[in-house]
Amino acid sequence: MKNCNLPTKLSCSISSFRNPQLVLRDDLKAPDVPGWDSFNHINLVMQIEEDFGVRFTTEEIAELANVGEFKSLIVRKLAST
Amino acid sequence: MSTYLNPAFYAAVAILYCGLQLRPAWCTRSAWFGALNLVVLIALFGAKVTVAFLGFSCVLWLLLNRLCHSRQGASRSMREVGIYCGVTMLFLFHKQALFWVDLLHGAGPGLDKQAQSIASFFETIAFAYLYLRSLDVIRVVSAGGKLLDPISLSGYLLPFFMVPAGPVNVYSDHVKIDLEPAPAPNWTSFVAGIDTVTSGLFLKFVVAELWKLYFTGLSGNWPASGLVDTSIILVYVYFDFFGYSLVALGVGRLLGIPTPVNFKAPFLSTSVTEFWTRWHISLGDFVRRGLFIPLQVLMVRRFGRRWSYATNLVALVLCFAFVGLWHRFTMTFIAWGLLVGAIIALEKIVRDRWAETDASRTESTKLLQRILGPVYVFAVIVGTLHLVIPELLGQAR
Repeated sequence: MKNCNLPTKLSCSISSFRNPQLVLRDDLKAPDVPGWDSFNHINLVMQIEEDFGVRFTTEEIAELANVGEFKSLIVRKLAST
Repeated sequence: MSTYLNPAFYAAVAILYCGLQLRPAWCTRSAWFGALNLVVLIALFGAKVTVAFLGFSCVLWLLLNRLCHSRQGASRSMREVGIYCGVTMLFLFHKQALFWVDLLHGAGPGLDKQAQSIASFFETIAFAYLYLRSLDVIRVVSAGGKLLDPISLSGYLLPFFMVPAGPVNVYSDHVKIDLEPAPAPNWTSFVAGIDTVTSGLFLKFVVAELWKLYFTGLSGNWPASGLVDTSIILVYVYFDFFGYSLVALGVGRLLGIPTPVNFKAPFLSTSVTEFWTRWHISLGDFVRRGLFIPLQVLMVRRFGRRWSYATNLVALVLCFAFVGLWHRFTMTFIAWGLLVGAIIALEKIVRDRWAETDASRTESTKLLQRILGPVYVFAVIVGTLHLVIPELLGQAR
């Protein structure tokens, strides 16, 4: 699981928004993606926790601003496990 | 007199603008601002109030410092809960001050007088905002974030320019001012800051007050019998609060102290959900960070992702109940919070179903939504506000 390519895996997780044209830029924010609201965000976070075998704190979830920060957070978590 | 009409306030802004540039190299920006802010608080509210506030900051700092140095485990969690409960008790006292003063009347010599002076102190320093900032500090520090020194912490908890009406500034943003180089004063940012302050003053003391004068005359008493009256009051509250928030924002920009934007054209919202992301934004952001996300995470982890939609709806309603209670600790305000939460929950369900239909994707529907949405939002906000207006104005329904 941990050897998987991060952007690909993240794309798979975010594919729940059913938008094939979605390109995961680092500066992409939730409001830029139709359907990515606070309800879907928590599902996405939980999905990523399962996919990558990591666990985020509420503080980390609350501070996430864009996809780039999300990627960095996952990398940090993977590095610390 | 309103703080923003006090010439001493503007003298303090000017002195601080210059004073912040004279920061000695050994002192951090947050500590320097904290120290100067205390001097301004003494000038504006008196030494007694400032010393009492500093006492509160120091006690909070001591408790958080002990929390930082305690080991992970049950005792640390108990300490954390204890700090949350302590500040919440103070907040409840602030919100129910009259009840406590009445209760202590006759219970002992001078007890009610003491309660009254504490209540008046809380009122002076707008403890409702201080409470939210304290919760933000506790949340960040207990999650492993940096604890500022007591003077810097006091500068975050009660910046003099946020005393009249907030906004709820973010602790993590305040901590960052020590990590970034101090912005060099320049003409453009100076003019932008002054422009924001003067726009705020115009909205508050010209637009809002003329609006009030037109509808209430010199008596200043709002009629609150019908929905039209409530909508007039809502417009007044908007200009009043938006004006106050802009003054705070402008001063924050001038001094280089992180100050959140509080309003983004809320009456252009096409849904009640969107309205609450554009009205009193700093409170909404605080509730999202400090209550909604923790509740979401807690419930999704407890009940599983299968039930996340339902648990998210419950979290949403609970958050609005908190917002109601924060405004006033009464049954009417709990009812108001629950009602607004329920409307937003219902809106979420309807919008999700609607988004799946083909009709939702046509341009004409989107245009109609943009036109009729703000009308619907205004009607709902007025309707829900009507529930609490008599209590806010101290009138019998």
